[in-house]
Amino acid sequence: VLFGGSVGLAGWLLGRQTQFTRVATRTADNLTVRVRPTRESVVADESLRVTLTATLESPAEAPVTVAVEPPVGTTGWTEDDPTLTVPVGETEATTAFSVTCPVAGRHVFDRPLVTTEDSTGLFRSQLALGNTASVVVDPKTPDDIHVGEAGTAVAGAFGQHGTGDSGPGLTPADLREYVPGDPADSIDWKTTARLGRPHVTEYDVEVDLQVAIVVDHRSTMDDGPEGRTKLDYARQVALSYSAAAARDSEAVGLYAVGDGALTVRLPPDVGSDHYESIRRHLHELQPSTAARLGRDRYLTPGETRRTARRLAADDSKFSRGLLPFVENRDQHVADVDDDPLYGTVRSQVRQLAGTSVTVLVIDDSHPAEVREAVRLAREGDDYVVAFLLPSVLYEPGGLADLEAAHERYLEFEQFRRSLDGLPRVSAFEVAPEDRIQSLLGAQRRGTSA
Amino acid sequence: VSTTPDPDAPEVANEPNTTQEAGASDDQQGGDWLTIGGTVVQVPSQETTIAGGLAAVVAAVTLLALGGPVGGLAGVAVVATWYLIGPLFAFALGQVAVAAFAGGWPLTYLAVAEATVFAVLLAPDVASADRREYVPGILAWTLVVAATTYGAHLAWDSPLATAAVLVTGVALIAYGHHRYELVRTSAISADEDTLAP
Repeated sequence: VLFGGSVGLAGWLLGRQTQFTRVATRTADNLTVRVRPTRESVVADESLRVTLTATLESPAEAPVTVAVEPPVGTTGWTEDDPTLTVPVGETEATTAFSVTCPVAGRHVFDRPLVTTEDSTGLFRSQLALGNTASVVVDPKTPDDIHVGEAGTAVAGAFGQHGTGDSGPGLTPADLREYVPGDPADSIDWKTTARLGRPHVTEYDVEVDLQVAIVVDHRSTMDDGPEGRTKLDYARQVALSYSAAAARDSEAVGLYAVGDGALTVRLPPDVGSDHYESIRRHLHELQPSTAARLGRDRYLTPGETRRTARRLAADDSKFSRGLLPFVENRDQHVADVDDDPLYGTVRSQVRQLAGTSVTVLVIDDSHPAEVREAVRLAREGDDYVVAFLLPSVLYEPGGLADLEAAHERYLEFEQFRRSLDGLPRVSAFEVAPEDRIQSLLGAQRRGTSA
Repeated sequence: VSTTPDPDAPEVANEPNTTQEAGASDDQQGGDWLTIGGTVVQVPSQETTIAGGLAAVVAAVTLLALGGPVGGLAGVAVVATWYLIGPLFAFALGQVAVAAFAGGWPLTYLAVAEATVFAVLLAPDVASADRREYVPGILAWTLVVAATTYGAHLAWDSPLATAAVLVTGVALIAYGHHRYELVRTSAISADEDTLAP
């Protein structure tokens, strides 16, 4: 009797399994699954809608469940269920769910998992089907960058770097008569033969321009609301400058200055790997958090010289007492070396002297140090482009008192002009468009009223 | 006993947690609606069909007729098991009941009892238009397994050997099905024993 029962049970199980296998394979053949994020790139913490669609060529013979495993590093999907079920007899089902990506980078949705189960629950088939989808999550970036001078935006001064000099090179520039002292191998013999007098050919000077981008990410760069801090703006400027330089195949280097130390040192180089490395390092920059105790108290050589001159001119007892502290300026140069920006320019950027453009992306918290660094960087025939971030336009509540804010902005503008006035130095302000417009707009209204 | 297609019948309007569920899961669970004595109840799963219920009742009556009052009690247990857990377990309990009472039964009785219990298992497939195509396969496999088991019985005349052939054979066939499905749905590739990416 028990054998009879076993035979019946076994026959039933095998029959069911045969049928289920047929249903499962037919379903796998007929099923098309698509995972489609509504956008290919989002900004960190932004919500992304993802559509999941399952389509069968013929009506479902068993319930088909399709589940998406959202990528590691995404959140928020637990509220919406990233699962759909095609009921028996239906041919299509669609669901949509939202994910939030707090982590920047490339996130990949694996192929959805398709589960078919028979009505007894005894047999279940699971396989990954459909497409993978990826979404690029960019870090939060400001989108209203103003680069300009005294509130007026300027076009990017990137790309063309003519030297205006002539000398040895490849592209012929000019023919001129030989003068004693010219090297014999520069004589153009064909022209000499044609004109009867010795002539030399001059060529455009070809130099390998090296761009050194120095980005300040000291704790003062943390001013501003999240996603719109000074460092966020500085990062965008450095990114676009390095991208422009990369387009022209220039050698670009990156130096990041943190509190008390040089944190990134990528000497100028070419190649897509190098450009990518710069891009990645720029994205990874965070305001450094080292203690700032007494940092701003150092005097730069220029300040020391000025103070010494002033004290020497004054014959009071007070001045005579102070003079010995500032007279020995070599001592103070050593102190300035402790300032990371100046130190970086001195120890790193000056090694490139001769054919370099130094791009400084800095705020106005350390004006004396910046001035010295700019002076040092433009020594020789080198060029300096300084992007300055006025603190008053970043600090929350900085514009609360418009009068005071305008005073501070004028002070900054004076500082910027003092740099811009130096030979081979261009200085630009970098600020949130809306804030600088509201500051200057209010001031104009105030003036006209 | 009659069926009603409308899960929102007035009789069940007082049971909010069942009406909501019924509408949402009707297609997937597929449970039929029974009106028994004016009360609408939903049978638990797609497997628990009216035809299956009738087969369970017939099996219970058969057990009562052949096994007396104790057989009748076993029949009630079969019906209860069918309703509460499902046909597969009702079938297993029915088999145990038949084996317990079949001591002095003639072969005809035995065949009838076996047939009614087997009907509990088969009824959902026979009754459902979607799954009627399962039945020939089930019957064919039952014949194959029966023939193999009988062959083993003739060859060795040992219950242990027969059981071994039955269990091993079923396991091998089931495993073959499983492998076929994996290869066929490209979950693994045919030439290597690794899971596809």
